[in-house]
Amino acid sequence: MTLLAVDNLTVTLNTVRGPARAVRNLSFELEKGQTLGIVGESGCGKSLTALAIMGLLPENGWADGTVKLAGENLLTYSEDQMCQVRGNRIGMVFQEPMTSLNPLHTVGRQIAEAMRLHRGVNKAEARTEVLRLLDMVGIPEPTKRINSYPHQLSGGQRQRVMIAMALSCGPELLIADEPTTALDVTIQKQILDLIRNLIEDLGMAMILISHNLGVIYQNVQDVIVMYGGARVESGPTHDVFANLSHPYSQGLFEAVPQIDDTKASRRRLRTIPGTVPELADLPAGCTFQDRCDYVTDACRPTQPPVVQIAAGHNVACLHVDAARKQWAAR
Amino acid sequence: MTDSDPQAGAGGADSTTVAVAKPAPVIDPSTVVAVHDVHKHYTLPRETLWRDPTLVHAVNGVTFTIEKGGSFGVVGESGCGKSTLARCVMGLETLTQGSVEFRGQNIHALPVEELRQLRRHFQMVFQDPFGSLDPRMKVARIVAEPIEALEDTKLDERRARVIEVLRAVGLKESDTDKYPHEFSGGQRQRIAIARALITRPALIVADEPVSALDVSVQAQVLNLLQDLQDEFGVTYLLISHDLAVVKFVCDEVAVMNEGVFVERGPTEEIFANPQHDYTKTLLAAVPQIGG
Repeated sequence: MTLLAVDNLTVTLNTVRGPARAVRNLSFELEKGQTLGIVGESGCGKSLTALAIMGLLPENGWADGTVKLAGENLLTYSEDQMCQVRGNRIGMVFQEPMTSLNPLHTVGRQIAEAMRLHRGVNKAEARTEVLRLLDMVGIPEPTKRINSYPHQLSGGQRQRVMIAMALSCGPELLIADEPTTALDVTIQKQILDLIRNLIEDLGMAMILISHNLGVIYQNVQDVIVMYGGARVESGPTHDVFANLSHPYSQGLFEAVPQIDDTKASRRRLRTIPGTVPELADLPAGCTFQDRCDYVTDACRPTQPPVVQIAAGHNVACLHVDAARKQWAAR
Repeated sequence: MTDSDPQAGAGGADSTTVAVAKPAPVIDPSTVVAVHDVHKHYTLPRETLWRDPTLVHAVNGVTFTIEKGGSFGVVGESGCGKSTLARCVMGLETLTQGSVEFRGQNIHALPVEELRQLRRHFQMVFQDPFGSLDPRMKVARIVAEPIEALEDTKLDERRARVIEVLRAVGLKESDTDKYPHEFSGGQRQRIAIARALITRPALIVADEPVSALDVSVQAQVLNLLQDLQDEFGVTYLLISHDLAVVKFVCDEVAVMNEGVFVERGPTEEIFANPQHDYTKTLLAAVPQIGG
């Protein structure tokens, strides 16, 4: 059953340099219980996609297209209606656990807030539920920690609290935007393992946003690679990584040093020349054209066609055959 | 290492009478930095009047040397003391115990002015691209500041060098007239790297230099670090939480935990055959593609 259907989503931001299309014609579907990763560099539109789904775009931005949650278009919802969805049917975990928790309230109260609002439970019931949630996300001594303030917890524990908050109302969809970027690797592993297990146990769907290819590879079934606001490649995670086909995805993969490389084999990293383009003056046609090795005049005037190269594995590139041949010969 | 201490001490005494003291002779010309048994303890605020304040042993007895043209990496998680260690090596912190010698001179025993003159040879790239650039200066001035302070260069030469290093880190000539807030976090970090490079230092201490950068830009900067080393023989002390980054740049690596090196050795060896449990945990936690 389709839980979330995003169709032709375009996010436009009003900037001093004119309107910038931060997300361009993005479409994807998410089944119940499915996990989807969105990977890309800063400015690729991955976070704005999440914010558009949540109805939390900045004041200078707006979304076109449709975002359907179980058949209902969220983009037509009023703010009051969205308040019934956020934190209730869609849970969120943000990157920065320091700033997304309120320093003046105990974590117990913050976790209980959504339940008290959406579920109308009384204080005593909320407390029992909060204790259960704290235990579920692996916080030791929940009866003590329920009265702690955010500053009394470590970064990893704060992120666990954020997860407990996101899960408090039993959402159908969890959106995790760079949930472990601010954390150490060992803590990152614990948090990602926790999220993955909870998703499975509770049968939730998840959108995991990350810039880290390894995090994406290890944690989601499907992946979308975004660049300059557009989807450049998508498909089942393992198929995509086994057959990287878009010149940008290939470049991204090659740019990351891997710990199993030997120094002799990789004295230099292959880089993608140039920098991420400014959203306000994105080129017409393929957004990657100015940094691409395969670019021809045909790439410039129009958006590249989406080519299906295997079941569910789509690539938006005119020169996908050349790029794949080159990649295989590498 | 220890025999240079009295000389450095003598240099300190000289400076009270003579304005410019002769730098101490270099003991082993191939050793750029020698860190010997460095301890750094911080005092926490008192919790009660009746108990002594708690000490944090941020760095607790660290010894290593880096040879000319070498690159030494320190990996560890937040709070392990790696950034404090970097600040100690830069002479930005006083030491509780131990010594740091740069080309045979104990930098913590040098008089202020001599240390300032020496600083052009060891520069630092900081972690936070938002806190380390003055928001009221234009990029040209930020990047030129070290040579302005430490060298006697003409205006047009200064500008040429600013443009040269900005290009080297992937920025444009037109960026010189912009303010830091006009750049993304990644671009700001590149400005900070340009500022460290401009004095053509022998040693660069880089504290998480690429953590704030986008993947494609990170690769450019890592390659740049390699190129600078190949070209000028720059020595690096690289502090990072990212094991792959350290592995890519460094010949030698130390794994730090709770203020001490738990394991240290040639990079390939440590990564191929980790001995300490903490190193193994750290390596196992890295999310890998294809694993």
